[in-house]
Amino acid sequence: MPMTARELAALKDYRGMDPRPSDFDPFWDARVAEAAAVPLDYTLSPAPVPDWPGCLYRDLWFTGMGGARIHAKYIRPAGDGPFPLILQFHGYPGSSRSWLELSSFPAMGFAVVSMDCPGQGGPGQDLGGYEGTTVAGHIVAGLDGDPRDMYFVRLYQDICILCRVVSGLPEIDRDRIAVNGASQGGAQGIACAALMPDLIRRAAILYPFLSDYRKVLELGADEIAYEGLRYYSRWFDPAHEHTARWLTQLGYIDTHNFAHRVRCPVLFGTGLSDTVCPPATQMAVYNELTCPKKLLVFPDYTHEEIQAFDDGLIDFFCREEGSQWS
Amino acid sequence: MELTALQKAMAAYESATPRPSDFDAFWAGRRELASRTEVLSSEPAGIENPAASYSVVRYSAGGRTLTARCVRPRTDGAVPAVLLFSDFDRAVRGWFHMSRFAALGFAVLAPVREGVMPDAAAGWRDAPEELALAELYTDALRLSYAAAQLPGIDGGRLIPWGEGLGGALAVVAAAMRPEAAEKCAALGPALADIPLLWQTGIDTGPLAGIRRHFRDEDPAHREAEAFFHAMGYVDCVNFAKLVRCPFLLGTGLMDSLSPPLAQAALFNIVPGEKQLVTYPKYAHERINEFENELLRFLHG
Repeated sequence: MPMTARELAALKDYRGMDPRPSDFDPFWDARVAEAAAVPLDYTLSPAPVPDWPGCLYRDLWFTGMGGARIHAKYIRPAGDGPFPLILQFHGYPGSSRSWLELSSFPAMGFAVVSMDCPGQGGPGQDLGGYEGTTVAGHIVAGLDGDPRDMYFVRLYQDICILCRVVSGLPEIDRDRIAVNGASQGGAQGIACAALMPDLIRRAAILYPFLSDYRKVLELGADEIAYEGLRYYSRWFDPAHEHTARWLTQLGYIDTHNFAHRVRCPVLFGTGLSDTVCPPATQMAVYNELTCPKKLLVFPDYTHEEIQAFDDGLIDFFCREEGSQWS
Repeated sequence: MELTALQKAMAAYESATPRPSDFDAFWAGRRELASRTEVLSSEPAGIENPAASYSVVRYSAGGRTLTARCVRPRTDGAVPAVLLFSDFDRAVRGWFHMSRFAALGFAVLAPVREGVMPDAAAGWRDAPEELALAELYTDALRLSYAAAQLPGIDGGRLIPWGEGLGGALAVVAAAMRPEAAEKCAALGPALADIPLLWQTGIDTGPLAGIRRHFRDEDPAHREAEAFFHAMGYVDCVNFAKLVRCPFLLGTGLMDSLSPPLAQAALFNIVPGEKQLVTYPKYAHERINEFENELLRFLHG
């Protein structure tokens, strides 16, 4: 059942249930600095699909945090460039979409790079070593250890390294790099724009995941993609006596806590019938954005492909800076 | 059925669907009808992109007007065109989705389906002219003729492609216009081996009408033979032997809407160059890896 217009309006000032950890910004400044210190090491090789006269397909492997080998699909228009670039992020727990699907970006004149989150549905190395349970859900991987060692902290650091790799490619116009993602990909898009604000010039975000964890628990939405929260809750804190500790720790990887750092224009889409990432948790992200932003709501859509949003990407990414809203 | 047994059964399966003796003559007539299609207009869609152009095409269909979306790469000369047909439960594909083919140098046209989903049983007693599905298939041919009239498109290099019901329409378009079909691809094509589909209990989309027909109008199946004979005019299996171009088929072995055996019935009859890729743990759904397969198939 979709959220009503009145219910949506009531969330106008909603910013999530838990406050941001007090040291959130210095914590992430330090993580970005760590990622910036990792020596760049990457290879580009032909992909398992052929090149076309107008479009080239490459596997990109690079070394991430802890020496992990991370994979991304890289597609670019043929020619010397410089080409604008989309950093595309995939949903949970999946993999980068097909080479054919990603080709819509070269059809718009963009190169595209789509990283496979390690340990999920695509190639790449998850080095593991997380303290605590790892049986269900990457959200809680590392929740009993130092926040620096959580899965999503490492992942966001790997994205920072990926940004350094692709922005240094000679055919890429580093002044026209944007992010695009839905669900987990939306969370990564916000985090990327927040952690690399000088590099990311535009962000298209559809129903972001990993947000407002206490609200997820309250709503009983701790299942499907959020199942790790229920698992952790049932087995490690059954009476909810320690939520302050672990929800504070999750605050370091809470999408709505990254939002205030985003500076580029954001096109934001929400399906009001979303039962995977409840609309309130998404609005917590949107309301924390202080950058230029536009919200598109789709009352009859749940957590699914929304073609009307995708169609809006063409205008949003292709228009000149300063006229990004159609 | 266990997986290995299913795959063996697919390789050997032959459909028992009837092929009416005047099938070819009937469809030759429908093709002639479709060949009179005229493009009425082609207007910008209001979307801009430096590498591709977007337009809305309107074309005639007897007394009706049909609409298709068109994306074309901004290149000189005539380019081949993908004809993109959607499944029964899905609207026309979005502009962003369609753009993927432009990166490869193809134009792409996708018909906008109007009105309610046809009832497969509608018009069976007055078949074949009155069959609702015959009209839907003829519309697929009309798109093919309309595409060939558009500037910048090589009308002799069309590539029908679709999923589910769209897969059926792609096969029809390739079969009935072999001179224009360069390649054809389908994922989980529907409406193949209609007697088997009925027997399997599938009553979604156009097939809902078949269940309703028997329950309401012929509960004792007294006219079942005549009914399935009429369905033979629109059973995709009967188009398969007319496909002359290379054919790629993707089949999820857990597909419960287009059962693997029904898809095999279609595939086994296609006479020429063909490739079947099966995905044991996929159902009637998008298959990421098949899209990579499609990309390879389109190449060269």
